[in-house]
Amino acid sequence: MSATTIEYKGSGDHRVNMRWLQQALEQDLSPKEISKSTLNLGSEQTLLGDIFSITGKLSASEITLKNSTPSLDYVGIGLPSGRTLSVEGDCGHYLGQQLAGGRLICTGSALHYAGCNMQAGSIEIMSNAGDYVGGSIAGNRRGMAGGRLLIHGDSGDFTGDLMRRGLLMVAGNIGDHCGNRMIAGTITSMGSVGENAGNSMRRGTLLFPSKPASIATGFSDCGRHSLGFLPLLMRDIRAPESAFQTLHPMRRRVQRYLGDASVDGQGELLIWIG
Amino acid sequence: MAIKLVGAQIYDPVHQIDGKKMDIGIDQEQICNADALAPDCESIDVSDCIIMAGAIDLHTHIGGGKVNIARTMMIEDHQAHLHHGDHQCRSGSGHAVPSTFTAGYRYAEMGYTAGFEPAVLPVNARHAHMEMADTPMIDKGGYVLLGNDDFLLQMMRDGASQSAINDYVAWVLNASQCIGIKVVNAGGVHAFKFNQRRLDVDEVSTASGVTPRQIVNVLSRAVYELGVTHPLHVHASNLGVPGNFETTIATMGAAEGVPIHLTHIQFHSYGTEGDMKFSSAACEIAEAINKNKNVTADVGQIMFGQTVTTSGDTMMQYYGHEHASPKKWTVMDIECEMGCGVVPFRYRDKSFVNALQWSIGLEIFLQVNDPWRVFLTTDHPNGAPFTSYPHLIKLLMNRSFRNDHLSNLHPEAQRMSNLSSMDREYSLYEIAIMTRAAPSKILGLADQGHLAAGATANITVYRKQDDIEKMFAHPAYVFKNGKMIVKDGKIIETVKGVTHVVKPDYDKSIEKSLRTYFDKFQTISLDNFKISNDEMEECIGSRVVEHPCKKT
Ligand SMILES: [Zn+2]
Repeated sequence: MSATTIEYKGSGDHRVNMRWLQQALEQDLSPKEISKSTLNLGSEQTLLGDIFSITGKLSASEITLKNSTPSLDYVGIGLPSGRTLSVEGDCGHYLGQQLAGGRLICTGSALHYAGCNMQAGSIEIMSNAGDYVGGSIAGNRRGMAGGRLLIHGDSGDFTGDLMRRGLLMVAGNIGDHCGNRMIAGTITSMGSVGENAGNSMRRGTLLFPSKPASIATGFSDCGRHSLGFLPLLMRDIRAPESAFQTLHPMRRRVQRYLGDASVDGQGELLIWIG
Repeated sequence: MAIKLVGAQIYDPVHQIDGKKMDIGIDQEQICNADALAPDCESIDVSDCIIMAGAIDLHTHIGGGKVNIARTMMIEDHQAHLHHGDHQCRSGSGHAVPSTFTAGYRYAEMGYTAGFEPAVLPVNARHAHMEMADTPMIDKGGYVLLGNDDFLLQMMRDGASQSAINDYVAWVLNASQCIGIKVVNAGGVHAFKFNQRRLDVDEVSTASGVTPRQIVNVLSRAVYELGVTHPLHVHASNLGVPGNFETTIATMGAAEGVPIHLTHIQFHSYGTEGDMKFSSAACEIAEAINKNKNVTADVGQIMFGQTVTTSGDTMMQYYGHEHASPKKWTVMDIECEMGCGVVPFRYRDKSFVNALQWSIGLEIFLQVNDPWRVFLTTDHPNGAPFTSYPHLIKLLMNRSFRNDHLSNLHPEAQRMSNLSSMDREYSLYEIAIMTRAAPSKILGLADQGHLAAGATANITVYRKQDDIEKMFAHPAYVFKNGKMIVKDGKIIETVKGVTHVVKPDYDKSIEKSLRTYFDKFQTISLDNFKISNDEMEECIGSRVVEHPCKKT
């Protein structure tokens, strides 16, 4: 069976809301039906067929979005399990929001709120991501709630804001306020981390190769430890092909900080040693 | 611009016109005698339509602090309901608590031309007016909140005369640019701040030393003696508490015969019978309304689904927070003048209590005999969003539709309700009374709510169809001040409304003691507190239309 592709033909001047793809998948629409439906671009309306060309059937499990640009928002929103969406190019905001078990790969960078409120599944971003990766849209009580979010480049500020469960891996550097208001889950990186890490963190694990530029004031140093669970965690961290595979699978020695005492204080910040 | 609407059936209860075929003329902003128009003026054939005046919602939370808090809290509501802009309308979002533009558009699309915000805090009046000015298409007005403010309670404790209290009430009305006075859980919101968890009508608040009855009494008298048309707008004590119908009837009595309006009375009509110790007291409440001609009420009907409750009643909202869905809420003080509580809520038809609440609202509608004294509201968004009005109208007009819905509810609630035995079906004439004629009368809007020559040309034209809900949801045409703003249920022109106010006279010497109070306790100075007509028009963005007060 030939692959299903969606090619973006628009100018990139308008923000394009890609929720239509979620609806089209749910309703199993034919490319013809989709092409005829309307799409709002700012205060204008256009036919979907005018800015996207679709080949193949949307019932296919693997779909490729070609020629993606940062003007495409909500790419792969709510993608259900059993579906793979490969995005060729960059993405706009809210990439993979509320991901529901699907697999999402973006060959370029994503803007803010990538993987926010994702429930399950996996997102892989080959380049960088903006702020609030794995976080929450304003007003929600929980951020990322499951699955694996892997960024091969850098991520912005408020990475993992309100994160509830799952594994968030950044091979590059992380911005300020990492793990802000984190409820549970794991964030790890291979690079540097900015200011105020772990602010208002209740539970969960931050695992970094070096101390962040600053740590939230409610953390205290609990000394050096050899933690038996780390080799188990390493299995998950080393599973996907990434820079994390250079870590030794049996590593377990860390400097441990606990916080943030201003909230629950059961979060841990672990820094590799030795 | 002159337009003639030809051949429709007219429903104009102010002039006892009940479905008569007549032509309606529009000359500029006003309704005129159709025969007086030039024969070659634009005429629209509306012979398959009915015409009513533009509808007026006398109790809808569309502007002010807590509405804004509700908007920010109900992010799900806004994410799920995005409204794209086009060349006519701006973009917006939300269903239960829509953004300002969306609220204006949705009202206009249903043929509403005015809506009144019932909870304007004096100190937040400027913000409330700004938000309302931002709400296009409809005229607005506000009821300003008193009865939990330190100044009034202090006056009462000091034994101030009724005339001194009248001066204060009039001063607040003038300063806040409102059209009426509202009291929410009289004295109770204040008492709650001092850790009192309940306050019944005749219970002395340990914090203020006065009873809710005394507060309702002096305020209803003040409004009456000042000649303000809209009676004191009362959110009674004990909202939502089983057995509260007795409180409600006692509150009616507190007015001692002067006009009093009880709002969202459905939430105040509960008994304690049955195994669940929760029952309908709609019959007792309707009987009390029927008997006491000084009493009017709006229902505050609930509808099933997601909404958010926003109220100044921190005492009762605090109890409600346990039922918050989604689970987030806030209860806060506002500048020691009042409070505010916002609790998201999902009414479920399979819940015994919610199902009975639904039934109690309808029982009140059907048992109050005089449609001039009962108003169609859902206490938007507390009972349901205002967009459910067409559905509510169908429930009132169609008995079998109503009973079909009833039969799907929690079985115990069905058993406890005598709704199915009620035969009454509202007529179009009665709907026109409830939604147009009576609100304009009770608000003192002489030029609105009717269709006689000289009235403001706020007109709604509905295309007759079998499904009354569809008819009321999508009017064929809506005219606002003579301009066609909606055609076939779609907005074709956006307009701005005005703000309706009253400005009763008072003895200016009240400012002396107020100034001392402001200097000592308030967060802004007295002179900055007052909102002038010029500020309303030039800064806030809504022109003021003043309505006269009766001399008593
Ligand atoms: Zn209300």
